[in-house]
Amino acid sequence: MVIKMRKRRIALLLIPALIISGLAVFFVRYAENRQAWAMSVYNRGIYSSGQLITGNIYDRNGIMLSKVEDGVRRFASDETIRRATAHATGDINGNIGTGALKAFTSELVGYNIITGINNGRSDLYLTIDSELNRTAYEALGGYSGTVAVVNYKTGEILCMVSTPSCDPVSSETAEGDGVYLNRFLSASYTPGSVFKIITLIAALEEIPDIMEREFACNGSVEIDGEAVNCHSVHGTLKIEDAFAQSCNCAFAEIAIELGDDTIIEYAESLGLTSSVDIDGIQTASGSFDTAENDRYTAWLGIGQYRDLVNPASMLRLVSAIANGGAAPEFRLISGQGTALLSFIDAMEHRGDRSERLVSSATSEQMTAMMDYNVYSNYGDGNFPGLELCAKSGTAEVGGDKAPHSWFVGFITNEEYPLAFVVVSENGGSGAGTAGRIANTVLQSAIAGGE
Amino acid sequence: MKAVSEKAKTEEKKLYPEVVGIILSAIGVALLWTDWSNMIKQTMCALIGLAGFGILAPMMQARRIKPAIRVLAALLGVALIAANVVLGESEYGAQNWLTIAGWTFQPSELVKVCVVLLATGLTDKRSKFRFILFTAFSAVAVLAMAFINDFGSALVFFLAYLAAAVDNKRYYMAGLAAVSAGGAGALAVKLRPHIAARFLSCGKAWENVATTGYQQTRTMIAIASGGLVGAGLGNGWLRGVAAADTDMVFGIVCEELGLIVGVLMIILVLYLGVAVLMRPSSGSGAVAAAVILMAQMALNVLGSVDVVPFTGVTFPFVSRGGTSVLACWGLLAVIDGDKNA
Repeated sequence: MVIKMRKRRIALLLIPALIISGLAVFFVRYAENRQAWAMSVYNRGIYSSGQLITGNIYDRNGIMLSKVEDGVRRFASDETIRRATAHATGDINGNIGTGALKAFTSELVGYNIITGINNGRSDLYLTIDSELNRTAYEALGGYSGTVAVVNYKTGEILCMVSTPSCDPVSSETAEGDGVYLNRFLSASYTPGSVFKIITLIAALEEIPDIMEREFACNGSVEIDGEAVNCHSVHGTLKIEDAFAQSCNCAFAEIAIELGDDTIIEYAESLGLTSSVDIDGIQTASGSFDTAENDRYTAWLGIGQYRDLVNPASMLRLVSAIANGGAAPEFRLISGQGTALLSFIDAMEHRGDRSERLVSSATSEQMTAMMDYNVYSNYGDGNFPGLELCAKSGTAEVGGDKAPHSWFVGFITNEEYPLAFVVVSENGGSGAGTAGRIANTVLQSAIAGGE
Repeated sequence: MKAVSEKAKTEEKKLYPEVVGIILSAIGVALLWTDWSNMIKQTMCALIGLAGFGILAPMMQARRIKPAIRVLAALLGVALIAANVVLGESEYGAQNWLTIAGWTFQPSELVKVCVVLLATGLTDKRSKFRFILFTAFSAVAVLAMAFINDFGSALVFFLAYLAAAVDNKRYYMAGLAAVSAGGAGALAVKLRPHIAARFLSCGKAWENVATTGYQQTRTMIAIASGGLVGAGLGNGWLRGVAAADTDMVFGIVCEELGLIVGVLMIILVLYLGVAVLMRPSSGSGAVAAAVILMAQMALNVLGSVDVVPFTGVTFPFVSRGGTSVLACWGLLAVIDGDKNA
């Protein structure tokens, strides 16, 4: 047919050729943007006056967190549950950008290339336990901050609370400082002494005789003509006690020996300066500044100076230590309503997707020392039956404000492979305030059979 | 030369353009499932069109009636254009509707059939007068469409003219037409800033979701929502958007019947068009008709997804509209009937 075609008509083939190029432009755009198009807030199939009218959200135990009834989006009937899960679920106005209603729209709708938005049933199961969230929310007791618990074997986030919170059903703008911000995912705090975990890992790997060293602490050490204060007079102590007592004098010495560049390199390789991807949600990343003198290097290694750490990345690091050095892939989505969608999800997350942060030898040493922290300082009696490994942090935030209280760690018991992070803003002593909150939440998690 | 074309004719596979027409008409009728009165109207027009195709296609091959058909087409065409310009009512910007005794129809659609009838026989050696007539008529049609703000139809008529001119070996005429159309277009844009705005907003639909990009963004959302297999007939929401069943019909098909059916519709039109262009026996009228069908399909689909400016041109056979369906069957009759011996 081509050969017999009239020659003068070859020019006319330009018309179908142009049409095909135009169609190619469209199909390239379609391939790139189809999901964004389908999830558009103007899609009347899934949105009605700005409300997502399809997709029910349940917790890991099938407790309803948000569902659509007669075209209206509803939330859990218990107000405390609503407030405790608001940051995981999202709110009716879409103010919480990292909530499931905003961040997992596609999964909620069950969007896929084959059936589009029409997969019949659209249920999304989160990994969180709403009762554990309630416990954490109540344990925070009015403090601003965050509590998160993760299974360090599977990476499932079982508890994720951020305060102050809001009632997701309320269409009024909530009062308070950053109520729509999920502090676990999106905040960065001065870490204080929990940063000594990073400094210690660097020391274990960079200073060969660190375990044999002896440090002297008489309550303060003069560097560059100014005092770096310790919170106590610790006398002569070895590294495990320096860590357990959180001795600033010892860690100032270690930090200066390592140098600011090495400490920052470790912070980077341990994942503190990059954002964590949790089912597509990007967390905030921490940041560190190089120090212009030894005194600042000392404060950098102690977790003060200009150090900023995101709670999720801190949790990821202690999960890695608990898990033999490999950080599990954090998950917030535990399942989707249909077999097809669950299959697609399983295919996307197949294989070992953990990332090694620490060598197994170092993680063993860190586990032993964090275990010793609880035994020798925080008190096993304060965490009955938990087999806890932890590090506290009391981060000075300047002015006359009380310091931020941090507590991070994990349970070594194989039956309860849980890692946690607690931050209570201006909560005072780390082991005190945040430690108590951590104990309450972990006891509840174990009683609940997580 | 004659022997070659004879041989080509005997070896040539027969095209069945009516099959394309029937499939596309069926989709068009099916889409009106939720709208009974329009569905009946659309079905009637498709059946009348099919019957008209059965009558007109054989008539085209009767040598002696051809001149009469052309004269009739010219007279009818001029009358339709005049009626359109003088009496036309505007809907959504373009003044291309006419109401007579309660029946609304679009004269410009029927003018397309007149154009392709006038385009027949241009490859004949004695076609000089015919070509002048065709040129004059096309110029009037393009200008009239531009005058009533129906730029999509103006472009379709212009492309039909180019196709016939090239087919007639009058490349210089095609060039001249292209230059003058370009000049006229530039003048129109200068005189009517709102038209320029519409053309300039092409490709920026997502930046203007509530205004100039409203229809295009809704169409893209609907296409993505349907996936490959669609939500099922009548289960889409795009049909609820004003004029969606004509201008954004590709989006409705993709949303409800799936992208696969949408793509098949495009392939059907392109296949028919290219086959007509490549068929050695196709007359110049058939070539013009094929170009009109392809151009309409492309302007409809690509306009609704923001690749080219949104002009409100109908998708052949599928868009709701009796006149459009009748005209498309007329074009098919010319494709089937206009063959060089």
